Amino acid sequence: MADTLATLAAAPEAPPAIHKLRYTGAGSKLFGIWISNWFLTIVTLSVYHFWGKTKIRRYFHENVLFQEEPFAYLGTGRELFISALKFFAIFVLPLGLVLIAVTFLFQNKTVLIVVPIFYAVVFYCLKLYAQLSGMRYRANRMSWRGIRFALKVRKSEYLKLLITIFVLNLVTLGLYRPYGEYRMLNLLLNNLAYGNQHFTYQGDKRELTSRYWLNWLLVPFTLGLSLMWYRARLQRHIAKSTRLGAMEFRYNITGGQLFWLSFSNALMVLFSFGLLGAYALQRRLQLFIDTLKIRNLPDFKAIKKAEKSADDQGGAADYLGADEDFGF
Amino acid sequence: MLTAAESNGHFLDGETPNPIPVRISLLETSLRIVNLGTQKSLTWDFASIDWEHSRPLNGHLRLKHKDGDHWLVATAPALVAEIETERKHWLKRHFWSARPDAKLALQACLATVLLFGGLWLGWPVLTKPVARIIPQTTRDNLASAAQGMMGMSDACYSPAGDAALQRLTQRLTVKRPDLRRIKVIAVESNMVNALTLANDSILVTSAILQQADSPDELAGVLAHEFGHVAHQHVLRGFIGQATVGVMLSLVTGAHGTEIEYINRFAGTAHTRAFEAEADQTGIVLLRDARISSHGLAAFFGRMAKMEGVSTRFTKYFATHPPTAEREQLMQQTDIAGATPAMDLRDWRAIKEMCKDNKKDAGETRIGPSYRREEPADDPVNETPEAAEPEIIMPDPEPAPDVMPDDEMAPEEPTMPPADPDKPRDL
Repeated sequence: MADTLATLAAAPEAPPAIHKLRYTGAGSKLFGIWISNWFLTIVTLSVYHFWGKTKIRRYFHENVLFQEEPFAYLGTGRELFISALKFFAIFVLPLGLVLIAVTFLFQNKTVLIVVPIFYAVVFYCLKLYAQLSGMRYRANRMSWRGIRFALKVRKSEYLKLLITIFVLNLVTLGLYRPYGEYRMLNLLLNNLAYGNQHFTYQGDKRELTSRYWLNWLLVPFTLGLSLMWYRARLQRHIAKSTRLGAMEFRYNITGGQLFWLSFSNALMVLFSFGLLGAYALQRRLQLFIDTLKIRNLPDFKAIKKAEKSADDQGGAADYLGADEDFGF
Repeated sequence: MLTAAESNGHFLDGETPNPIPVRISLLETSLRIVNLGTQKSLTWDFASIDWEHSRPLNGHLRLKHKDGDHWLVATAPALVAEIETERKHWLKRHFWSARPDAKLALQACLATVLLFGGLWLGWPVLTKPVARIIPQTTRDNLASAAQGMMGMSDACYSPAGDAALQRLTQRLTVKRPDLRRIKVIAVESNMVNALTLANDSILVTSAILQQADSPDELAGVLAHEFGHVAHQHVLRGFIGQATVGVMLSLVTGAHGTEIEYINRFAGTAHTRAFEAEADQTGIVLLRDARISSHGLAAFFGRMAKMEGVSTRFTKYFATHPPTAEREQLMQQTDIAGATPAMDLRDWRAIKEMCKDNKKDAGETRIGPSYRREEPADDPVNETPEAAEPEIIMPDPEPAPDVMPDDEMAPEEPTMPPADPDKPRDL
């Protein structure tokens, strides 16, 4: 009995299980989708791109496996198209008509200067709204094992924070940026959920500030490339500070890897006139998957479908070019 | 033992992420799903499956129900193959009803292509009445903006030169009194060009005046520009381009870059048509004025040498028809009874216009407020260097007041230039 107890006491603690994502996509197939999208988008005066974009998103989601189960993308081109049409009819067209009417009715220099500025501000704010709307849409249309993700950030809260960060960055000549990023991560990641299980972000902003300021000082000497190393640090920080229940993340990307990826992708896209854009995206995704490690699993039995969240449509973000998912 | 049409798989109920082991049976056009734990069963008809999200993936067949996030995953290759075969047959019979998203894509794309195709092809006709109602102030503003952009705001002026240009205008419009409103203005510029503005003014640059070898050459150049005025090419081009461009950018939103290039490329077909039409009208005006078109041919000949050879491919990207072809057209046009476009005094006065201007550079600026001063009764006599006329002006036959409509617009042109503000140049 004593031996058994001694054996149990001496037994080393089992290391946490490490899990990885797996990508099963093929560059040639993605290239085929990319080229057909490109052609159809041009032939249809860009209308097809709603469906083309959905195809690319679907391809990427379905080819990323976790626990041998693929993610699913449930968005449709129809949703993007119809919501873009609504956005066009409700905002763009009336604003455009008023702008034209004002320009022709008041041939006054002050009006001709003030009105475009007013419009630029309105569209900037609309773009910020649309950006969040696009993120919420994409999160809501992503699922794994039949359970959807959700981003439950209120638009007013997001807009307020974005404008605050924008102003403070401006005033401090960019020195505020790591604080701003910390606050934004806090807002977004703590409101991200898989079913009813919330992600939690508990980052230490000091991890970001010192590295950022060092790289910020080097910007004039490195033509801004030093910020690539900050970006790598930021991404590692995000992974390290985020959890889903017992699930932890580690992202081992380095500044050098990120620099080489960005540099080589830019060359590839430039010299192929954009035709190899699909490969560039795939390389980015592949690097993410290769360097992400997941420790432990959440208690799947405790996870349930979430209450229905706000049903955002991604059309406005798409229309305004505020969708920044796969860079499509 | 399970048959090929029956095998195990798993079911995701959309309530929890825990797969439920099930037995799946294929029954013609439906699937029977039995929970291996509870033995409860349900049936999915093919019509209830969301086929736009269902597909084979990594050897498995993943099927999603239309109502909610229920997924059925068939893993056995034999069953997957059986369902796939049935699925293909079924989808052939229910092609559009099973693909509402693709159906909308087709409808939206077709509607857009038809709308813009129609607009693109039809606007040269649609813009004709619109161009007529554009107020003079707007035309002047557009002309002024174009002049500013081209850096052609310094007018050359001399009473004798101006009067000579007016006389040439009178002669070229002998059978087109409606074109006598045209103001021909010489401007200081190194660019060898003549161009029409939205307010029906025509700018001829000091460089083209210097390079022109004969009065007939200048007359030919002006006749071509008068052709643009006769057909309102500048305004129609501006209206058409602006309408299509704005509508396209509104529809495409942030995705219009490639489309903008295509619009520009496609627009060159219309500018080539406009240029050809202006050439044809120019020939009519030269014929009416009994001025040889060979002068214009000589001008095109010089231009063609400067441009080099245009290939079959590059000519589709050009805004103008191939210059060599234009030269040939002018060369082959035979104008009976042609006489020189002006006498030597007038020709000298025009040649000297911009030389005099250099002394007063910047004093005379043209724009919307510019109005040509009425020439003196006999400006030639006021010219210090007036010489004996060596060329006798012809006496054109009296002409009807207005040209028949079919001659004014021999054929329908098509779309306009790339830049809405860009004036119609030679």
